[in-house]
Amino acid sequence: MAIRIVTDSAADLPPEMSQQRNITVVPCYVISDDVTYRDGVDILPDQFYEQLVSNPRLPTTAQPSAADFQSVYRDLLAQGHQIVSIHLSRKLSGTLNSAEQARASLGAEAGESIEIVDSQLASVPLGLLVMAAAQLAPDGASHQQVAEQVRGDLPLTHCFFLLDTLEYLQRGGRIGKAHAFLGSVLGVKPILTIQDGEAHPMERPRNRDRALRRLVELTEQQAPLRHLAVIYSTEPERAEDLRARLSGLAPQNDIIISRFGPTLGTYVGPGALGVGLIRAGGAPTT
Amino acid sequence: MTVLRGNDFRQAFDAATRCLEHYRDAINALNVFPVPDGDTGTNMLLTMRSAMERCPDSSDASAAEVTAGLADGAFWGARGNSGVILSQFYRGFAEALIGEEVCDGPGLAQALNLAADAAYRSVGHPVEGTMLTVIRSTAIAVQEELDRGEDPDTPALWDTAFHAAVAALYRTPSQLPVLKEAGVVDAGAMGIVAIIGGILCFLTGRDRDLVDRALAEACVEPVPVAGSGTKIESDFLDAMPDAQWGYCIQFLIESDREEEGLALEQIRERLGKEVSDSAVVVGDGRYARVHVHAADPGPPLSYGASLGSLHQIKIENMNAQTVEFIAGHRSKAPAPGSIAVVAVAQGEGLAHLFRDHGCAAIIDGGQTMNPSVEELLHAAGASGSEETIVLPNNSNVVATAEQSAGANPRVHVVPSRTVPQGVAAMLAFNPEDPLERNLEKMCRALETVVTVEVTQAVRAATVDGNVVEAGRYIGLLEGKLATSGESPETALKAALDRIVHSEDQIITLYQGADASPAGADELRRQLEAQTPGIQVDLVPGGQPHYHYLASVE
Repeated sequence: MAIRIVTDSAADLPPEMSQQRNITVVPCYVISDDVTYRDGVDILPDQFYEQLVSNPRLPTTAQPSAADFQSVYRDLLAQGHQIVSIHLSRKLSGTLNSAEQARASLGAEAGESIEIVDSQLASVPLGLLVMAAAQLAPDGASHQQVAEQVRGDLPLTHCFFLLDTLEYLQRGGRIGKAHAFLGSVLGVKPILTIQDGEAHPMERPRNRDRALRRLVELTEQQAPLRHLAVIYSTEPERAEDLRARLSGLAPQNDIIISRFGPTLGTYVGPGALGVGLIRAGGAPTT
Repeated sequence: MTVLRGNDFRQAFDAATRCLEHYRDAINALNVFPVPDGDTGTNMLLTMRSAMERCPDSSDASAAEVTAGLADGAFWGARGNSGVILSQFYRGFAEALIGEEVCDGPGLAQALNLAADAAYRSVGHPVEGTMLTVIRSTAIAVQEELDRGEDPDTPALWDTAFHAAVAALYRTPSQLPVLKEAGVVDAGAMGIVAIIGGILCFLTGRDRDLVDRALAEACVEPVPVAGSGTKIESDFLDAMPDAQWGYCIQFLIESDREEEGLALEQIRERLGKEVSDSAVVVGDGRYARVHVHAADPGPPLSYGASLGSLHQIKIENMNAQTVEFIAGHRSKAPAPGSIAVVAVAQGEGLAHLFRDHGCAAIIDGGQTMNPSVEELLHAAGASGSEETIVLPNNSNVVATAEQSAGANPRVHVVPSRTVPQGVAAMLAFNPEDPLERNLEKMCRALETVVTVEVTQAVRAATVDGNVVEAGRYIGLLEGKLATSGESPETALKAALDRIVHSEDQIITLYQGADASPAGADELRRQLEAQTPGIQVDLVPGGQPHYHYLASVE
């Protein structure tokens, strides 16, 4: 009997990480030109971004169904495991609803072995939470304790993204409070964050270089850190460059590189770059 | 006459206004910088006209009522730094005469003294050799005259005041080096001389030659405006309408409570909360003069009547205002914590830029590019948010903005002295952040850009020891004359060359209405070639008078 961590593809976990740590990733759906793909299974990032840029019709995303969760939970329960299921913010997606419905459908007893956590986040910070939970899992704690720990990490988890354009966020209907930064006369590269489950505008540097420097500064302000990851949508070399600039900020200099999968990619668009982190606890430097 | 009644004041200041009008062009020409901006004469004249509008025209009005009305009008209509100082002059004057039916010699001395105090207080860093000095010198001279004990009559006191003002005006170049360099006396100071001269002429029944001659004797020679360099037409300004909306409600409350008196702050707050954010309340415990704009005149009047008896009640219906704001949906009650930014800008492109980046309203400022206190407060009120941040974007509008903020605690100023500073501040604004954080970040952003402004010299000037003829193009670097050239692009490039030193910098060029697109493109090519990798952004600003505004950051 062990504790298994379940999440969804919007966590943007590098595939080798989820494999290594026995994390089950339930795919979200990406619908493009009336064809439905399972994120990370039927469609991979490179292919997705090519379509995104060339297709005038934006792809849409859909949450995994309750049935998808049901089959994952059943499998794991049958193996005698307990489950901590950590997902994308309720405000951004119905994924949590599907998970909850699935748990309810399995009956009260089975349901007790499943802890569901609303990360209030998406993408790389969600991925870090999931990985942090996976690290705890083998240590003999109960699934409730692991879930508690994850919930405790929520206030310590942050992310900052720089976007090449807000166009995709707006067209996808997710612009939310970030609409304040829609101006395009001066080609600013907005930096956003996710808070309370929604995208929020943070700053408006005049160009990419300055935005990048700000990402580094914002990350430094959160030190000391327990986990750190860099995420990109279409430019891996910029992700490497950012990783190099952040060196020294993560324990054992272990900075993960992740990629915005189709679920988030639809909204962040090409040229996006970001940082996800979990602080070491205690007050940050700002 | 030994005293001045209300009616005498009204006629005297009316004469002063006409005298100022007569000298308006000459005062405008005294602008230290040979740039088509900050016309002191026009700003002071418009402020005076506003003052006269609120002046009670009944012939029984007391000195207190008339001067209070003048102060009110000047407050709302204040434009430009000189207009703001003038409005404070009136305020001090009115303060001295509260409750007074007439003004005698000592009353006049007190009035000029308080006027000087108020004027000095209104300026962050008072500088001698300006209108402040002249106002103070009149106060001192009148007091000295009274102290001599010969019981001078009113015209004699004004005569003393006038000659003291002229002498002070004459001294201004020796007190302020930039005046000496430019070969002019201070424009605002000359405005005060014209005002006092006008009053003197009225009181003595003499004509304006009196003023001309006094100026000539003091060897005060305003430098003539060079040819057609000035782009501002006086006739247009004379026809400029007063732009407002809703009802303008004014009244004086006389307290009926013996011991307590009127709590101005409380009245202000109550009116601010329930009626309108743009309530102005001045006075002492016994009297409070209220000036408020509201959609329904009933509530403020009822409230006032609950505090005492109402006098001098005046209600005006006003016509549509010239402030444009985004047609979006404005709910009646502002959302708590909501902040809007309002910017002063001229030019379609600049207005679009500010709005594009989140500005709720643009204030045009009219031909002199200097909006009045009233216009700023209207725009703030119209923004529909709980708090408003004002970006003046012009060093001659900062004081007006600060006066507006003084009248309304929900209005805050980020003192941008140029358009590029205002843009930097705009980009630092985040409606998600609390007010204090926004103010802090926006003010810090002002220092991150260096501004260059390019225009055509309206008269001869000295740049770096070189004489520049009228009509040549000049570049101002952070507000100081720095370069000149045969074309706007040459003057601009010369200024940019002084501050561009790395490809990491960002140059932003805001093209004015008079700039040629081909010239701008060519300039961009040159800048990119000179510093490979540097970012050069070209924005069509459409601003008048300044062929280019530019920033380097």
